[in-house]
Amino acid sequence: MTKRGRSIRVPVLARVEGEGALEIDIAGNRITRLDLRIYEPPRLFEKFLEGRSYLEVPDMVARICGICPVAYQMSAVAAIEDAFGFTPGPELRAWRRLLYCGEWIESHALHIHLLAAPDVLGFESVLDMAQAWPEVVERGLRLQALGNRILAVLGGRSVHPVSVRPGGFSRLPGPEALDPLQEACRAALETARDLVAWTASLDLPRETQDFPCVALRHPHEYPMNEGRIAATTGLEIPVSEFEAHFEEYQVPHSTALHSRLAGRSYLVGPLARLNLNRDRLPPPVAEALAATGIAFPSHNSHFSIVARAVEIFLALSEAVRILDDPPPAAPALARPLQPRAAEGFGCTEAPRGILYHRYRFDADGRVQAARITPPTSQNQARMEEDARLALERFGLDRPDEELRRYAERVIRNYDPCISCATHFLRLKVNRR
Amino acid sequence: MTTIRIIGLGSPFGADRIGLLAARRLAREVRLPPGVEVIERDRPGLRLLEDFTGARAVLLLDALAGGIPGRVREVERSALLARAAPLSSHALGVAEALALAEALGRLPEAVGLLGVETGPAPGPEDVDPVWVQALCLRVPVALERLVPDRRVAGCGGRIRSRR
Repeated sequence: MTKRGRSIRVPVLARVEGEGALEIDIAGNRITRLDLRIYEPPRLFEKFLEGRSYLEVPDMVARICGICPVAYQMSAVAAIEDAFGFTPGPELRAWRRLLYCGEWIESHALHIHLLAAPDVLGFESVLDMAQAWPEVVERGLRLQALGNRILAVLGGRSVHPVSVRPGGFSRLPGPEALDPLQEACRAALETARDLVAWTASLDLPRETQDFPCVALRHPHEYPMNEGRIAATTGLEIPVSEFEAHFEEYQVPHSTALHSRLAGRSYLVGPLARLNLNRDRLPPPVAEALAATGIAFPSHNSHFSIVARAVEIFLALSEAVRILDDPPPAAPALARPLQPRAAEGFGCTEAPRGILYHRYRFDADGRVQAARITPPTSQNQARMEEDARLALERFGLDRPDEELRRYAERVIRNYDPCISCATHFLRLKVNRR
Repeated sequence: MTTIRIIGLGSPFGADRIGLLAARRLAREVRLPPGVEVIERDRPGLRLLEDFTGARAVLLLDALAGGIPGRVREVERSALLARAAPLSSHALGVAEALALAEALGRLPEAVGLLGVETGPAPGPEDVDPVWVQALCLRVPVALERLVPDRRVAGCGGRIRSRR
């Protein structure tokens, strides 16, 4: 194996240890300190990327996450194309949006059914839940498989797709693959509509807090691949100004950088996107959301599961719209870009929230500096704040085990990379 | 027709390729009896459940971390299920996929795993072809144990070392 192969394996090995730890100091009925530790690998990648050709970047950053590789590829190509002055045409935009739909569907379906549903329905894990609610688990598996199928058809394989290149796709499928995919997506629309109602019917805690939401905002579309960065504070800025407004800072207890906007923690992800972009939902999806009776914008993070279901329905609807009349492939195939010494910015909506990339290239298109700000680290300060407020309301006199479970549930709403493990928190409580 | 599915598991990296290489070799070099099919799956996670559909028996081929490098081991159904950890999508292994299939009633009764131990992690960077051959040669015996009423003997008989 080459040295390059080995360097890509580092986060995969590290991720095996990926778990969170929560340490709480309690004095009376107040939490005086709450520290959430998350292992966050993208920081290492910023150094790996230095000296690499821009052509290698999309495939390398895809390895940061096995659940959302497309997000990393999309933010990377957006930044690269920004640096080299390439603007994707309508065909390329449509194909990329279709690919992103696949990732949203598979990631959200996994989280709703296999990770969050056991919390809500009162099971230790999906293995126990599968016996009582097999149809729920089967629905999750079917939707996840459909999302994966979109990735496989467009990206060549369902994990770490390989067709995304700066300037376009290396290959695109023909009608023999697209027609059956269109049928499968259309057939799943009803399931997705029902899923919205199902998530809204769940017994979710009423736990409203005050926090800013941040998401992309596009003039016409529900945002995925492009848009300005908007916040419920009224902020609306081009992607290139991200670092001027969002401050990353280090805390002693975490390897992941925290983020704040104007001194405050903030939320990114499905609930934030929906809060900022309800008016961009296609009519059938907007109707399904309205039928839930839940008032949006919502500042109850437990409603994230509803937002994910809405986004599955949205992504499926968008996939059907694109597949009903697939754009010609030729204009979306990769063409050589003209590298130049420049800096480029990219920000797209990963399933978990905005994913910001910045690269500085030399004249040959080699990376001189890279900056990657993933959604999980942006949400980290908000997760800590949420957990602190939620646990205080939950009641700190409860046994540690109950506190741990509730804290896990609160944090799992954010679908952080660590949320995958059923028992991902080591809880240490110091009571005075 | 009864389907007996042999599934080579792994990733394109290092010793983890063994299951994939063995499946490829079986598919290329062995005339399999009717009803026996061989497929490869690169880190399938829960997609493995789809491969159980329509299968009467499933034999998984994979690398096994730990043990004595090169030793072939058979792991039975109950032992596989006992290894399942609480489900985690970032560490969603074979055992967890099998446990979920079992909970959903989608796991065939006849399931086994044939693996090559690769020693302490991360294991060797290259796969010794002899290990692949050893794994292939054990396939007929493992299949007969899984499906005693089927004649599958000789399915590995034509495997020859390439050297």
